[in-house]
Amino acid sequence: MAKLKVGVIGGGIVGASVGYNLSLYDFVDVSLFEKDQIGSGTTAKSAGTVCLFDDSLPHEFWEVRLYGFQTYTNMEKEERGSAGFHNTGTLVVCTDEKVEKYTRTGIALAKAAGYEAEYLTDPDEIRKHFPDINLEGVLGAGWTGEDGYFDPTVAANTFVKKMKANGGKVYQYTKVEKINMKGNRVTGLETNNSSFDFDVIVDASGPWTRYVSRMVGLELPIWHTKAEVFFLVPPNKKLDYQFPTLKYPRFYARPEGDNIFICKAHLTMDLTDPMHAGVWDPDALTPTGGTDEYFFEFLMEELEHHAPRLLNSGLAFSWLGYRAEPPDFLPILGDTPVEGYVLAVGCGGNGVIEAPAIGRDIALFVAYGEKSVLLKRLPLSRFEKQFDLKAVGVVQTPQ
Amino acid sequence: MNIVVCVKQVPDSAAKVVAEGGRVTWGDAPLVLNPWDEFAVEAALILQEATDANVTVISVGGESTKEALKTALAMGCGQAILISDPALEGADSRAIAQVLSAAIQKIGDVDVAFFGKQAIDGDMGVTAAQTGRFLGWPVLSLASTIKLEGDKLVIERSIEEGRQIVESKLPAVISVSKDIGEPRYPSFMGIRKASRANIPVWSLADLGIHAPTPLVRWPDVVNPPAREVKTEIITGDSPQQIAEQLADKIMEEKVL
Ligand SMILES: Cc1cc2nc3c(=O)[nH]c(=O)nc-3n(C[C@H](O)[C@H](O)[C@H](O)COP(=O)(O)OP(=O)(O)OC[C@H]3O[C@@H](n4cnc5c(N)ncnc54)[C@H](O)[C@@H]3O)c2cc1C
Ligand SMILES: Cc1cc2nc3c(=O)[nH]c(=O)nc-3n(C[C@H](O)[C@H](O)[C@H](O)COP(=O)(O)OP(=O)(O)OC[C@H]3O[C@@H](n4cnc5c(N)ncnc54)[C@H](O)[C@@H]3O)c2cc1C
Repeated sequence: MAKLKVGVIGGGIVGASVGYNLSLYDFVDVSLFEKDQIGSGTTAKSAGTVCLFDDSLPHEFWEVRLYGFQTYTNMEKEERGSAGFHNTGTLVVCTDEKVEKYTRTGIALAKAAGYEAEYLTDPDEIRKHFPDINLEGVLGAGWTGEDGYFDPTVAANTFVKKMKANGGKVYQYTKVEKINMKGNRVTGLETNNSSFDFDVIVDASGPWTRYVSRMVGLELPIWHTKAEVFFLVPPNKKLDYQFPTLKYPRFYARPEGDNIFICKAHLTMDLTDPMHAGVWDPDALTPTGGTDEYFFEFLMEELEHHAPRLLNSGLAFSWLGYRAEPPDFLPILGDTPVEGYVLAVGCGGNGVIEAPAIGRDIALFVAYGEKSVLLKRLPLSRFEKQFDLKAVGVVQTPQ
Repeated sequence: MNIVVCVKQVPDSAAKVVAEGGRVTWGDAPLVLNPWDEFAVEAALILQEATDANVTVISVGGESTKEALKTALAMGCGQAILISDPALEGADSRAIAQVLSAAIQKIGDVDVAFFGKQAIDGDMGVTAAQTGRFLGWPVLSLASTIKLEGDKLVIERSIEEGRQIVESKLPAVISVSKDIGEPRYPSFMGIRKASRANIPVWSLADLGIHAPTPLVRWPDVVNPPAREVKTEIITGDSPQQIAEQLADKIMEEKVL
């Protein structure tokens, strides 16, 4: 029997996971195209936090989160460093009742899965994990000691290494420039130096999908939101405690060596605010710099309120990435009105958490046509009524 | 205690310098605080932390120079003053030094004036010494540590053979080497303060001096001759063959 030929566009954490999972099926012949290096896009700018729980993803997707965490920790167990794991533990600070309720459920879920997790209300206990905290207005905090953050660029490269070992082909520095079609069906693609025939093409191009999807005549309802990051040098250049992975409703932070990586929570972004969101050119992003005045003011205010001593931190450098955000802040997965064109996009601020489950489920769908709960829940068709998906080049309002 | 830091705004070190007809340009390269002066600011702030001194950062330059002064404010300097006057066009280092010394005297009661090692554009490395001469103060160059002991200033200088300890009475001019330690980054609080700072501008009239006559001229400035570089990519069937060819080439060219 002829093998099913599948092309994956994009070698970020999502494309790498999709490619690896497809390579597990021996009747699938998978090729992955990355115009730059593996994991050099949004993935390289990510915080990479994969916590046993935080408020970034509804509990409805608990299995996605758990599967993500377990995939990376297993990767790390197989070969130390291969997922770039830093076990810092996570402190989720609850400043309102909604978050508190969410956190208590999260703690219960993590415990049920066999992890140590607790909801702290004793100020000294909370301060033990984050001595610089201002406890005014804090109801409590969730603590999970076994998680932290991963290096998604390293993990993407590990996925790709395994994919190659399974016979998958990987083309770096190879840009997909055209998707070939016959009627309403994809037949292959053209890169900057060659052309390929495929039965199925999986689009995992992250924020570039806004442009890649136009190659098949689709305009996807995905907006770019600014993901701005500051690297803080703590007062006296080094903290005298282990900084945790720290989650507040409006911002989050984690250690980066002796420094602190801090950014704005993706759910605080307003797709209708031109300062937060738009349709931009991810190729124009620079490796460092590019943050806005408003972000500085935002962080200043948050720190003033929640950890004033950290305002004396130095600002070593900053960077800006684009998250690919659909209007409901959840990914778009699976089939489209174009036959053979499959989506693994729109992962916004949770792509690292979600990539393992997305890869697993997209591969199952491509190989057997079977739709998992995740794919059934997050199809492109949920936006059909709201947006004209065929109005190529027309940017509609993200309401 | 009063400390002054003298800083210069210069084109970013990544800027490409073009010399044409004796004139130097850097294109539209971003202007930054002279990197060596960041060490001078760091030294001033270290001394400030130890003594609770007042730190004033000053610069001679145009309106854009306020940005370099703001960087120094964001790092932690208390206040900034810009000295700007159209009559300073074409000034030499002696003229700059004379202006700086007049400004230091106008600030009054200054105990230490810090300078960078050199400016990365002019590269003369003389302004500290010339300013010291105008002020009649001792000049201690290339300090790597700084301490105040009673009414004496004690500095360490890293020299090739080891370290030299030097003491001096105040007031004094000190130029700072990079061994003072990594300059601190601007802090949140500092950046906010700097962005709101109103930097006073002093003219020559405010200093009560006339435009100093430049004594040194730069009749010509040229770029170094372009170097010819030949690139050859060695190909072969196996890594071993490529390595052998590479080894032969290295021997041939007498690199080894
Ligand atoms: C500052 C920041 C913090 C974040 N923090 C977290 C976090 O803590 N936890 C979490 O789970 N997520 C986080 N995220 C989100 C997460 O990083 C992203 O969702 C994820 O990296 C997206 O991966 P991707 O593979 O979809 O996209 P990308 O990594 O952008 O990959 C897409 C790839 O496609 C390639 N490509 C595009 N067009 C073409 C073409 N025509 N031909 C060939 N290749 C092409 C690009 O070069 C790119 O490498 C964060 C993101 C940012 C920016
Ligand atoms: C296009 C161009 C043409 C020039 N033409 C001439 C010329 O014809 N003749 C001539 O003599 N010079 C000329 N100069 C040099 C110029 O005047 C120098 O800025 C001056 O001589 C100081 O020397 P420097 O910049 O090498 O500083 P250095 O002596 O290397 O600086 C040492 C330290 O002095 C302090 N410092 C230096 N400049 C300032 C300042 N402006 N404000 C506050 N602190 C300062 C800083 O702490 C610095 O680290 C020219 C410069 C340019 C860019």
